[in-house]
Amino acid sequence: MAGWFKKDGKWNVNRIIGFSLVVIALVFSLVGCFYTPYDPNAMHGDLKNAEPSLSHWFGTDNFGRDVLSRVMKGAGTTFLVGLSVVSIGAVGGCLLGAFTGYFGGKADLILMRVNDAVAAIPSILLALVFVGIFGSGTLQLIAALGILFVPSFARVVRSGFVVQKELDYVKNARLMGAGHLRIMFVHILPNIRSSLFSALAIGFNNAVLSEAAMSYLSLGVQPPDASLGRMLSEAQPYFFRAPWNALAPGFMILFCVLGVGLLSIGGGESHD
Amino acid sequence: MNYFIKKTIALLATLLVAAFLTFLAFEVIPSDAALTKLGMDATEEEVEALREAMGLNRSLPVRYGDFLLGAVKGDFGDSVQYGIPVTRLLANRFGVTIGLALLSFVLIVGISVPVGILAARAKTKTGEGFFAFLTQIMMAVPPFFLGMLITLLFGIVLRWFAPGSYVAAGDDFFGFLRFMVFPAMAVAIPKIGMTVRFLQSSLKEQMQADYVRTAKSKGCTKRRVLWAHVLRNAMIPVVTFLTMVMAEILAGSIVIEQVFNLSGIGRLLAVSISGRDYPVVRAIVLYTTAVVVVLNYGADMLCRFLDPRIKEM
Amino acid sequence: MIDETNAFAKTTLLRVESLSVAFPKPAGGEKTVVNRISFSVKEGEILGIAGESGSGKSMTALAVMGLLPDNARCSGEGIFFDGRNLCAFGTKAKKEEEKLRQELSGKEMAMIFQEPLTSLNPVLTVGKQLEEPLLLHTKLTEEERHKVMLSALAQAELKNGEQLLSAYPHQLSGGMRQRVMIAMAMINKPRLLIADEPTTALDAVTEREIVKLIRKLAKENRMSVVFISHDLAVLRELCDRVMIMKDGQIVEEGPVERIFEAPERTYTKKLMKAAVKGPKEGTEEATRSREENVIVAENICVTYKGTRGLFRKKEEKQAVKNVSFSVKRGEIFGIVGESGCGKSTLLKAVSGLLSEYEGNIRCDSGVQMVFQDPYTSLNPAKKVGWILEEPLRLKTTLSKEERQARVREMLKETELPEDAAGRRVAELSGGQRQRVAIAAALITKPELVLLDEPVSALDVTVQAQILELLLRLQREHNLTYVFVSHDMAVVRKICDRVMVMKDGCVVECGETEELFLQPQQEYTKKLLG
Repeated sequence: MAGWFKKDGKWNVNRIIGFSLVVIALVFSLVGCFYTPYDPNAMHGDLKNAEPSLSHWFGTDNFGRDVLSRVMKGAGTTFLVGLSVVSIGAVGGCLLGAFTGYFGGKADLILMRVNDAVAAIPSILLALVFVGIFGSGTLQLIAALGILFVPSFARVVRSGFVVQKELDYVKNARLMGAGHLRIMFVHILPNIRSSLFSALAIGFNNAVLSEAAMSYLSLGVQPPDASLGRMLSEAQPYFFRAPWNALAPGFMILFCVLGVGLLSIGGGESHD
Repeated sequence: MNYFIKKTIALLATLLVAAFLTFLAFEVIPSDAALTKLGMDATEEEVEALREAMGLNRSLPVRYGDFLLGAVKGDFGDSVQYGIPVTRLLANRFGVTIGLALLSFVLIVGISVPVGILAARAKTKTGEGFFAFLTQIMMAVPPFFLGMLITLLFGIVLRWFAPGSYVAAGDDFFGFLRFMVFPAMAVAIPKIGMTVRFLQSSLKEQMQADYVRTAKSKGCTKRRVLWAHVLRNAMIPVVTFLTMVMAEILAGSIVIEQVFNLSGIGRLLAVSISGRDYPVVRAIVLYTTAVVVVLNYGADMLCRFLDPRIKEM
Repeated sequence: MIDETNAFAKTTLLRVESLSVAFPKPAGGEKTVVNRISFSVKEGEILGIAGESGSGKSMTALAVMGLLPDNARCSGEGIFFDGRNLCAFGTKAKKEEEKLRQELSGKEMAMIFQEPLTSLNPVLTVGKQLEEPLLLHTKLTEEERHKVMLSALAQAELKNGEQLLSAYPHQLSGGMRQRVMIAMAMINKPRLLIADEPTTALDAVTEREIVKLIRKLAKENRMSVVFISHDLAVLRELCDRVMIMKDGQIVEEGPVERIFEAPERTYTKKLMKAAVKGPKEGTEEATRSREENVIVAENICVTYKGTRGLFRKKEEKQAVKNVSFSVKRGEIFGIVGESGCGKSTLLKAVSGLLSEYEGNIRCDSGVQMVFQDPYTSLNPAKKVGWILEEPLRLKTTLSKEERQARVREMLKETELPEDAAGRRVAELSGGQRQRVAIAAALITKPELVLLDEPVSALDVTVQAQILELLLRLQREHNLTYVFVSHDMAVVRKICDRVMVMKDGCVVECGETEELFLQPQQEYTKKLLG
């Protein structure tokens, strides 16, 4: 374990920080699933925008709700959205990228042109349009972002397959009598795992940031459910009077994304 | 010349496809424009009459043709929410968004290039780790949270600008700059992190290239190797990357306009989506896509100029 | 070759004193790649440095030129060029050393590299790059520079100098690029030229031309050359003196004639023996038993249809033109030719990897194949045991235990250590990898094995071992090989019959020794040198 945190015999500080941040964020949101100090949606009219204190560590918001409890719950929602989005994107992207990259041909050319066109347009713009068409809500958000994340994964997987399929070990596998599916998913896929892992990390971060942005624009997770982006959006009008309302969820997002990002740096190099 | 003609044809084709997709996206919306306009109380006949008048009963290709013709003439119909022509609604707000985007782009390029070169030259593990951490933290801040922090720090604590006091560039250019630099910072900082990292890895890759050895064997100084040999090679992928960043800036301004209370295209888009004002949404999506496609075209041209190896498509 | 008495009278131009180069290991500590070596080069002398990969010969050259990677640590007493110490290893200020280097590099000493394509800057014209040494080291006017550049190109035997100056590297052929590199190195008439495997990336005919050119230029300009190569034949043709390196040390050094005719050290002898390949042994008795045809190929034509874009016209290229041949059971059939002659395409058609060909191929046996590069022909993500088991999983119904027993058997037969099954491909050496590839091909006990340049990526001594292994396996299991190679010496050593190909056509075909001793066609004679 200690070796994993070292590089050329020196401590890899970034990886240690990243690991700690991810663990903290995970514990925070996992505990939030089962236990929160207060009911995250319970309002207290006499405790509006209370400053952080021993009873309310991160203070309370404009409805008198406990910010710590809401952050714990909201982090869970945000991570769940992030994970679902990345899963949809990765599975769809792997299938699409593997088939187009491996078989090539006109279908590949056309699909990649479409892929390029979709990738050229900022994903949040498309997500906005998608939500505009199908309505807002957590499930719609997951579906919209998930589909929009498919092209970026497909691109990574496809470019890996295009390189790998020309290598002699693939020809060798064909001569041995391996079928196309076996070659694609047993022989080739393990060889692009390092680029896939970093795509997963980047994808997760983008998903978390996109969820936050969409919820901030009131087009994602709907009230009264807590999500980190939603909390930021609700906190903004009172930002100068009660900044803790925004700082707590804001730094939660920051730490989580920073943690995953730091972990993914050089994650692929550890084999060498 | 062949290349330019081909690329231009491809550009027009992409624009047509993008326009069609935008058109189609709003055709499948489960809502009836006539019904929306008249409200639920309207009788069957009234709705039917309006549909006829609005041309909703004609076939899909005909309506697409109409839509295209309108788009070319700048006619996107009337806004449902504001009741004025979409084009007029947009015209007022273009300036703000374009100003924000351009200023952010200048900040990104102006800061990323020197920092990227510095990062690529970092030799020690500590130096590399520092730049990795710095860029990662820049990429990890949600842009709107960054906007809020900037407002708090520079607007409230330091009082360098008054939040919400937007000045039009036409009225007072320096006042405009003094205000806009803060939202531009919020848009730019995450992208600076991305660009620095991209430029750093591109430069590092090129510094390993064989031709660098050749240049040194001719007696080039380190500075000359960097400026005369490495930089131009390293910039080729960066140009394409920056086009993507430019598209992301346009997207990023949607939230930042909300944070800084700027009435630009992005804010209008968010409001129009909530209000189901589809003619406005459609026009904005089409315009933004067109800008992105044209930017890509420009990047292709620049890459061809930088890289003699690109001859044909 | 040089007159010995004269050579001693000449002054020493380059003297390297106890030079070491080391790299940090990822796990900590250092790996020494050059270990306290000393040598010198006289004015006008051509010194060859030979050795296999990992011998430290290239690092020595880079150290002399001051081009070692940043993480390399260089130590020793000094590298003296014309009496001046180029690197005092820490005692002299780094800035000063850099300044001296910049003053000498490109003017007094110059270097050419293995890969001429990547060694030239892809985004600058030939003219811009050729001009750089003049801009850095001379005060010539633009007009004078232009003149010097044209004459340098002419000296490197390049035609159409004017046109070349405005061309980009990717528009030139491999041989032309290397000539441009030579012109660039020679433009300031340096006193020392360092050439690091400059002909390895070129085909045999171009290689010979480049070697001749370097020799001519060296003699005309009284220039010293340090020529690094793994190819002993090239060194013998070019050099005055040869130095053999192994594991970072000098094994043997001496005049070229002495080294080649009377090598003293065991390693040198081994190297010589591996490089000089005689005819195949014991051909007589083997020929008799061969009757039945395993492969009969008639009028094979392969046309590649390249599709580049969605709406682009198809480009056609005929890679194999009307080729017929047959292979008998138990023989080793060689196909030789330069790169692009269609030999590999033909092999693909026979193996079934390529299905779009015209003509008839009848093949009475299951086919397995061994590829050139064991780094890409074995799946890097898998362990050796998995790779060897895969053909058994796909083609047989053996149980897991039976498969593993067969893997162990095969490892033993290919002389691999038993624990190799648990290792990843990346942990093995090039020779071991090729053994794994051979084991994977033979594990299902095929009768016919196609070998596509199976030893071309390996060092000479390893080459000899792998060829021996292939011959032994062929004898023991009565296998039939189709052996594709560009290397005439290897083909002569292993094949019973040979077919020579050029531009997709068969030039001639016959018994190996007959063909080598009495080639009928001009092209075959040219290939044989």
